[in-house]
Amino acid sequence: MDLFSIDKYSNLTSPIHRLNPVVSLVSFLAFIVVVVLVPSGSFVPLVVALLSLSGIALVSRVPLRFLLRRSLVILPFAIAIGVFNVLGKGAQLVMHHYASVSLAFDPTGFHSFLNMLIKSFVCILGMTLLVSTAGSVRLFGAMQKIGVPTGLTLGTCFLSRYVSVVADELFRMKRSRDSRRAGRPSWVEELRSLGALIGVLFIRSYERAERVYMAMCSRGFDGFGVAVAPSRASTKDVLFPVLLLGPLLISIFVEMAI
Amino acid sequence: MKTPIIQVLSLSFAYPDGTTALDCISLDVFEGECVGFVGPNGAGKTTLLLHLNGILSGRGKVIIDGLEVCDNNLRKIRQKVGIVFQDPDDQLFSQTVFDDIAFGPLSMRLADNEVLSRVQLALTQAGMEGFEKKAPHHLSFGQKKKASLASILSMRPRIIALDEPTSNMDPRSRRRFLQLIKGLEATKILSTHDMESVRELCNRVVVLDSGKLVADGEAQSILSDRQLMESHGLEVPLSLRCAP
Repeated sequence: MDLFSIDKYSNLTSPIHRLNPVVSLVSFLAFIVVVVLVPSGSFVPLVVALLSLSGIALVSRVPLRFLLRRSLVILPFAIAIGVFNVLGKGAQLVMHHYASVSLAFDPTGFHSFLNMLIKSFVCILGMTLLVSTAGSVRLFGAMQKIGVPTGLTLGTCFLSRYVSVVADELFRMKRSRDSRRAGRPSWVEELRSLGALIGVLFIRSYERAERVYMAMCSRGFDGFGVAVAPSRASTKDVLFPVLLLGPLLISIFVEMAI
Repeated sequence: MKTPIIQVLSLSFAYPDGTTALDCISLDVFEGECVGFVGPNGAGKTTLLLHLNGILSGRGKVIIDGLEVCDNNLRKIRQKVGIVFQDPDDQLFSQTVFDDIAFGPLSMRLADNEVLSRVQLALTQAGMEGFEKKAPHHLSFGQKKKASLASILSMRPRIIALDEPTSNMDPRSRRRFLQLIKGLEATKILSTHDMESVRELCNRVVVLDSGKLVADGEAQSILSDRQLMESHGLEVPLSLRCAP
């Protein structure tokens, strides 16, 4: 089973895939920071950001459908948080009555809500593009290179490696439980057996972690992260952050000047 | 006189719950030997393997190639003794086969170009060329086993210890894996229940039961001793029973 195949297009060949992973990582992180800092109510820079990412997606040949499907995952969360910008905030509230419920809407809040939705979408699209082009393995190497603590890098690495192993184990246990079941269980029984499954899964994962650690130690692991260092960035690599961030920064300055 | 590459001297070990796993084990293994550790479940075979490169440490002494297994020597010892674990999902913890095979050499702090050449050679030795970019969870069980072996071979150990090397393998994968092990030049230790593979690969057999060493000798004579085998929960291999 492959639950988190987020980097399944990382083996394609394109100029974006060939970029130095450190350059990719730093560029996309800077891009996200700039997007987050776009003033609320400014939409042109966000459209420019979306166009830049679309251009990169086209060059990278990562299917747009895949990128959209992955990126839209964020929307329910963004809506759940952003909706509070519209409800009961701001100086000019408009009251609406629905049956016995009265709600206060803030028309200006709608702009910041929309702004937040687009920002979230652009950021997650950027991250998906980064993982899809650099690949998780090269990204972990890049994280180490830019000084992310080893524990964090290794933890992320292990999470992405073992999540499918643990999920497989859970499905096998569930199948075994279901095969011994006669009739439809009550929700109390269902909860009880689910609790037991999760408990056993936790113990098994803990034991597996110990065995993995033994396997690591037996190959000389001494607490330091190990990965082949990414190759040095070339002049072509340096062009990438300019192309990714340039149009976005220019549009922000132009909008501020106007 | 030849010096043993592995010396185990009065080794005892008990798990934290009090279970005695090894009870005063002493044995010598010489360079180039292929030794089979056999015994019923819970005999202490895996525990003994884990003492060979200092993953576990009990009372007594283990000396590998003249170096005592202790904290100061662990780095050198682990370069000399490679353990292939029973479950390849425990052994292959990286994102790609390449990363797993490179893990050992990188831990040895070798230069990147040396790491790359070792990985390439290990892939060839294990018959895994072309799989380096694959994620371990996309491999078949047999391929995972070969990748696990390659992850050890890249460290160029003088001793290779394999824990249940053929368990859960289909006959074809098992055959190929045994051929692979047979072709390795290092000193080999196999901990297994698969008596046929012991008969095929090992020139010497050590029988363990309840943490004690109960027999140690030439493979053919130990494996064909029906009384000895059955009294310790084992069986004479079918190929020996059927032999004229």
